Amino acid sequence: MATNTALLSTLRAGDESAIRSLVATYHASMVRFARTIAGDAGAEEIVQEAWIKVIRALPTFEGRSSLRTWLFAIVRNEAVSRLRQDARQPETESADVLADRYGPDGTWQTPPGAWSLDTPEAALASKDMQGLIRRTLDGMPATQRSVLTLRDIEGLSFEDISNILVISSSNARVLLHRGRQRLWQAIDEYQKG
Amino acid sequence: MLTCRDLAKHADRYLDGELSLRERLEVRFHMFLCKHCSRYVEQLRLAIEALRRSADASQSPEPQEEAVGGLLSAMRSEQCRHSPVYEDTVSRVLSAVRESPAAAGDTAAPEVVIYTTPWCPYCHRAKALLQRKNVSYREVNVAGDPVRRQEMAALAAGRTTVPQIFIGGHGIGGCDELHALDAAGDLDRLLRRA
Repeated sequence: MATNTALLSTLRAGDESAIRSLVATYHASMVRFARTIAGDAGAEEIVQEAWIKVIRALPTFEGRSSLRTWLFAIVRNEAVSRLRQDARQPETESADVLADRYGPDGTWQTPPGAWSLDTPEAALASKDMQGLIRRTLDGMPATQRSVLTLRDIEGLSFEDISNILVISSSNARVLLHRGRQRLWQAIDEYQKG
Repeated sequence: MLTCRDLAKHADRYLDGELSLRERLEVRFHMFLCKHCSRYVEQLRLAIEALRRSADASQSPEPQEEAVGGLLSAMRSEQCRHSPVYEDTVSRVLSAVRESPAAAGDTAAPEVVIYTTPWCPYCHRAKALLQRKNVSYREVNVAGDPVRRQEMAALAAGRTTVPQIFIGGHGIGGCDELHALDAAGDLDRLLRRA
């Protein structure tokens, strides 16, 4: 991207307004992403360290990936190395939640029920729904949470996601597929309950 | 002909607009005939939308000023590390320290004051060094406090970056200079511990 090149040279020159705009543009996204790996507690600190690494690495950044992908990769490295220090291992495999809702012929055996979201837009923004989404994400393995965040919130391509998280693109697709299904299932159960 | 199970597998790429024209038509045709799948795909879309909303809602107020301040100071410190001026500064500090009349007769340890912001990693590093050496110090947080920051700049010959460290009223510079002094063995001397 041409804008990246221009931005990079002003950043390297230590231009204050360029740094301000860089932080304003990416800080919140980076914290959100760091949370998916390390949880709420360490996220800010991880991003702070990541920014320092960014500054150090700016002179050698070759611009082969987009600036955003590069920033996220640095956050990921920082978060993962922090986790190794803490030796946390909360990974559980996320299964295909729809598997037993189909009959042998591949048609619905237990079809989805109607959701009583009269005004879906308002209901999605409700506190209850936000809490539900939050809890569901918290119950996922970190990599799955990261994929959902990078894809559905940040809107990154699978190629970028696989580079940032160091997983294959097909693995990222599977994690996204099952992660979205889990969100759907959580709302579905909430609707029934 | 797609089964309902196949359709669920295609649903992600359908919603993301990644299917080929042919695949998209197959999915649409199936949904036209199957109200269950049609409902499922709409609900999946709503679930993704809910996820997006949750990100907007959970936007905590970010300490952006702090982030920028820390970053600028890190950047300057980083640039200064690579410049010949840095070596020069360190050697000037060192010679000033060596020449300072390390007060014969005055045995009380000089006061150490460090101006910081909570965000700045160099401040943390400087404080960590002092703590490792069991040096007690007075910390002055200048974040969001322009008066204190000005006071610091006045004492530090106009420098506005954090940390600024003073030993017995003498500005010795920032984190790098503190470490350089320590590495040269002069920090102890300055603290009258030698």
